[in-house]
Amino acid sequence: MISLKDYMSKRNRHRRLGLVFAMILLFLMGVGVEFSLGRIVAGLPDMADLFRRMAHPNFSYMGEVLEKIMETLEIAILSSMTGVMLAIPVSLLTAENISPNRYVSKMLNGVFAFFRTIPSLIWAALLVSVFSIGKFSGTLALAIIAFLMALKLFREYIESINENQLNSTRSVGASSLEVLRYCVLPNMLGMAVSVFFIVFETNIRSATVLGLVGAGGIGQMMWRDLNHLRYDNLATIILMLFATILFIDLLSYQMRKFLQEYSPAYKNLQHYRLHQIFKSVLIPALMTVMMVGIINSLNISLERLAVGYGQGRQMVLRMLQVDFSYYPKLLEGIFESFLIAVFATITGGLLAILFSYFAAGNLSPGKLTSLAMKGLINIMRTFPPIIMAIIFFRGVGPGPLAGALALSIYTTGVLTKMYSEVLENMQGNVKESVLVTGATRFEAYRHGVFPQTFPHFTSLLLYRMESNIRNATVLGIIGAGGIGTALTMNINWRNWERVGLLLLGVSVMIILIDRLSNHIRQKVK
Amino acid sequence: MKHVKQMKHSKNAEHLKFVKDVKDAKDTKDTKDTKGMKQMTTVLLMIMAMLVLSACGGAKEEVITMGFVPMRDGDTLIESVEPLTEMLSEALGVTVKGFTATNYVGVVEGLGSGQVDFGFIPPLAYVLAHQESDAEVILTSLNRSGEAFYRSQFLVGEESDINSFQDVRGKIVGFVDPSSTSGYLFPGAFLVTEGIDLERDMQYIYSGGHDKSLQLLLNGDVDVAVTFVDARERYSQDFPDAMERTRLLGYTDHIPNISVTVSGSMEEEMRDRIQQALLTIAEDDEGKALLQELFNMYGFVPATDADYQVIRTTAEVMNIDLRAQE
Repeated sequence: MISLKDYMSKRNRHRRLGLVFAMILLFLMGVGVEFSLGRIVAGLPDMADLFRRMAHPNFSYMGEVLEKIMETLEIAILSSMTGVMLAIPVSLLTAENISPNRYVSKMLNGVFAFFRTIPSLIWAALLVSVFSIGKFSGTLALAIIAFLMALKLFREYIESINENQLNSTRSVGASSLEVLRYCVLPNMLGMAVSVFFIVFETNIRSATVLGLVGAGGIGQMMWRDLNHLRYDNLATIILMLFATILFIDLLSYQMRKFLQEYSPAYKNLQHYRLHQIFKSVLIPALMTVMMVGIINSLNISLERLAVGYGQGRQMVLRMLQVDFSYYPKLLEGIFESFLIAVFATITGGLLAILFSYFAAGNLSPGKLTSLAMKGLINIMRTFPPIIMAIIFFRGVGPGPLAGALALSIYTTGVLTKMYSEVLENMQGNVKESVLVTGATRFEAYRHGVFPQTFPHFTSLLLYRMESNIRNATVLGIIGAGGIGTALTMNINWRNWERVGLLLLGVSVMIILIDRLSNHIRQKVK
Repeated sequence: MKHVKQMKHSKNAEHLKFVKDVKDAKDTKDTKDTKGMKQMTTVLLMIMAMLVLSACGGAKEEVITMGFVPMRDGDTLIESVEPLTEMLSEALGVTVKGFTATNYVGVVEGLGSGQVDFGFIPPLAYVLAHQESDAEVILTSLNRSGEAFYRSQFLVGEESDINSFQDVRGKIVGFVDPSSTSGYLFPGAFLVTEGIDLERDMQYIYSGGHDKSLQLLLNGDVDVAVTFVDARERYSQDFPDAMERTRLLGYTDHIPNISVTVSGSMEEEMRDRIQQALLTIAEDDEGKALLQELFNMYGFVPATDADYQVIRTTAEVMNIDLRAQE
């Protein structure tokens, strides 16, 4: 039997090795992204100057900005709704336990897994080349993202339905349609609203940057002000966006909470029926009205779709003739994206461990500290990293370092939020039991709470890694390093054969990393 | 520690052993902790040292970075300027490396932050860089006919009812990009001098590229498209019927060509050497071919800030407040 002493020393050794390994990795990645403290320090006055200029937002600009923010919202709402609605029927085909044909579901899942690896901004850039610029391309791109996201959530839900429940319904002679009607759909429709809000939260963030590739929304204005170095205008946009996103997150959170806890008390059967009618008629009617209104504002004609179809066909056909000779550029770009993602994940992880202590309400030295920290991390995670990267241009210049710093900040924000929530939800006894030995609060966190929640933290970190890899592939669109640079330039030049190769490479890398991360996650558990 | 002491008095041998184990573990842990701290400090120190080293390393070996954005009107996408940087390295005796930016704001900010030492940037970008970080223009490139300026064109549909610039009123115009001199600034200013208020008399959108402007026109999304001369030939593969389906409405005023701009912090001596080196390369047969291939340039002439004053007046016409309100 292993003695406690041995166990402790072995565990400590492991831990220390892990930390050293992370540090070495961080350093190597740092070299990869051209990290240089000197450059950051030298850039500080420039960045300070930037913030000084941004500290005088141009308020006369607000009306114009509001108009574009509304357009951004329209894009996000319409695309999320379309995507979720389309995902419901398709999820019935892809879920392996109820799909009419196993091979169909396997094939569809494979295709969708490939599509899921393509970031929204790349979808938008491709669609802009097909349907030309404007919010239609942006809406379509986000609808695809919403569809893929919702599809995954629905499929996982259906596959989690107990086989017994399905079998028992079948055994009373229900046809497969009736199984759908009574076993699967009832819960799914309720779930659809929650899924809509989850998707919507993601899409509103993506919608803010669509304009960078000309796909509508506020991004176009942001891009113009950035190009004219009008940081005062940029500050106005950023402030208003922050308020908008904060409001939407809150609304979405409240709605989801409401839906989760919502269980009406029916007075009698008639009341129940009325309620059902209300649910099955009024809600779809409301949604239809909204959809029609927004689609009208998009102003899409059939001819335009036809023209787009022709151009899109041409593009896809050429993409399929993958130009493999372009692989050196692919490898170089993918490697850089990978470095950026790992750098950001490690930096974000280390900072999040520290920040979470201050942010978690039950551990933080003071309530005010916790609130201030929460405010800070909310700012850090509100903006898509691609916008943050533009801000870093000023200090450290364009290139992978700007991207890596921006992504690190974003990762710190998201990870701190998630991990501090884990900490807040854990029972107090671990902390208390360490505290009674006379340890300080931080020691209680360091030696009690943190080791206890470490597997959970690792799992969150790995999810961030997956997300960071995706983010790192688009940073290059604005010139902040990684594969995005080659991707966006070849899209602009309409070198579709090369775009085909780049997309394939990105997809393979993302799928491999997802697999690896999934594997590690299972092991840690 | 209190309860540990209490337990020590217990007569139970098993308990005693357990307590000893715990105590041992705690002792080792204590020493381990200080050790761990030491190790942490070492690791941190090492990282710091490496960072400092890498920072110094950059300063020790002098490298000059040349920033550029692949030419939108080029035939092929140029991603590497290595042949040119090699020639420059040889001429200057300093390593020159290329930096490919996806857009001009990247090069402008790069010039300001020291990431880029000199670059090939269009006129509007130069004016911004000059204002932001005192970047200085040293050369203007020459085009095929040996001129230091170019023009862009207004295209309309073949069957359009727009026959003069006055007919543009009430129509939709497709500009290229807000940072584009040829695709936004000059065509916009041209319309303004024709008496058209861009915000009130017409609508406009940014297409994001000369190819996309053309595409918008062909798709019928805009009535007038602004492109370089002549985008219809350049994108004939993608839009084979562009020549037949569009017609030329007119040209803009002359626009100064792409500039070679050096960062404001560069020493005068190095600035002169770069200027001289580029002029020499442009005379050389091999260098000439290279410049044509990479940047569609046919030589250089020395330039000063005054040559780009026209950009500032044009920006004023366009109501672009170049200087941000402080």
